[in-house]
Amino acid sequence: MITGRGLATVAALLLLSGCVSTAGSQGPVVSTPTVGEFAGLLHDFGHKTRIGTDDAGDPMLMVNEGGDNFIVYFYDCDGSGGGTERRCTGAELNVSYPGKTVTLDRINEINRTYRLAKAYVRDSGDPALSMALNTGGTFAGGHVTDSLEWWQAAMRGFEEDIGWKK
Amino acid sequence: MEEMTRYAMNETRRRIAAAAMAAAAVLAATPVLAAAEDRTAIVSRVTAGMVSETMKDHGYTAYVDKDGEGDPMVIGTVDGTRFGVIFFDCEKTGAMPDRACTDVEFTALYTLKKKLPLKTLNAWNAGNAFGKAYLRDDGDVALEMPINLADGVSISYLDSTLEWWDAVRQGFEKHIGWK
Repeated sequence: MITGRGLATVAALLLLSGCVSTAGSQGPVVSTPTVGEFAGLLHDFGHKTRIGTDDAGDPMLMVNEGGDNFIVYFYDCDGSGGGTERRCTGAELNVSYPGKTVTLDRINEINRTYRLAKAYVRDSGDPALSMALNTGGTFAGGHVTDSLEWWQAAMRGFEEDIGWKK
Repeated sequence: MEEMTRYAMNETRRRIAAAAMAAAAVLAATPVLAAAEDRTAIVSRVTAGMVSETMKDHGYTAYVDKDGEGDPMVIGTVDGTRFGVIFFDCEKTGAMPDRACTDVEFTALYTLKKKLPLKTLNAWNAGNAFGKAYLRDDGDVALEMPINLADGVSISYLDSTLEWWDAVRQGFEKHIGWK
């Protein structure tokens, strides 16, 4: 488990080491961010979020992005409970498409060709798209922005591939 | 995703697979990187050499090679599993270890005696956030873990990435009964 550091501490260290310049254009620097800090990065991207609790009792974020709804699950979190102060080394962006049928052969083909996201079929039969983000260690907010752009492109591509109409 | 991107991906993967399974392990020299001294410093360029050196820090054997498209790749071994790290959107000039790229994909291939059902792979993909598994045309099973490295990460970020790869690979090998 990677122990996170506070934003202010990391920023101070970066200033002292003279490395803050490269991060300047890449947004705030975080280190294994809390769920709340991660939600802040989503807000910076223009997403609205609501905090919730998943089946395991861990925090999750429900995201609304211009008519799209997806969920962010968190993994390898310190502490316990569904609060926003927990630090997690992994996050998963996840969306499912109820009522749509996609064969496992097609899912396999999608997984062979997609770059950062993956697809699977839930026990319910609904297809789902997922993209994991490492959130352990130190990184800039701009990195999350870039990942969210990948995620938006993946959702659009998947919806086209499975013939999903809103 | 554009068709061109998909095509390029498949071609690259075929070459990586061939290289990863090659018997000879030619160790290429990789430079020691000053950036590794402060593992929390944000680096604007993540090079193949940085990834390779971080893998060594974690006890992997690793060396930088060149793939069929002229981009860098890293061949790594841990716990007897040989795998490739494929790089995307790379700089096109300079020594292979010094070229920066925007994202990577850890890729391991498994040749099984019996073809694995797609439902087994789907169960893995459904139950694990990190890593994706799929069946190749040749019957081999591929496990991949793509990670974005663009716009501001650090060596400590690579440390965490490798911890995830360790967990993903070990969990998947247990899932398919790989020994």
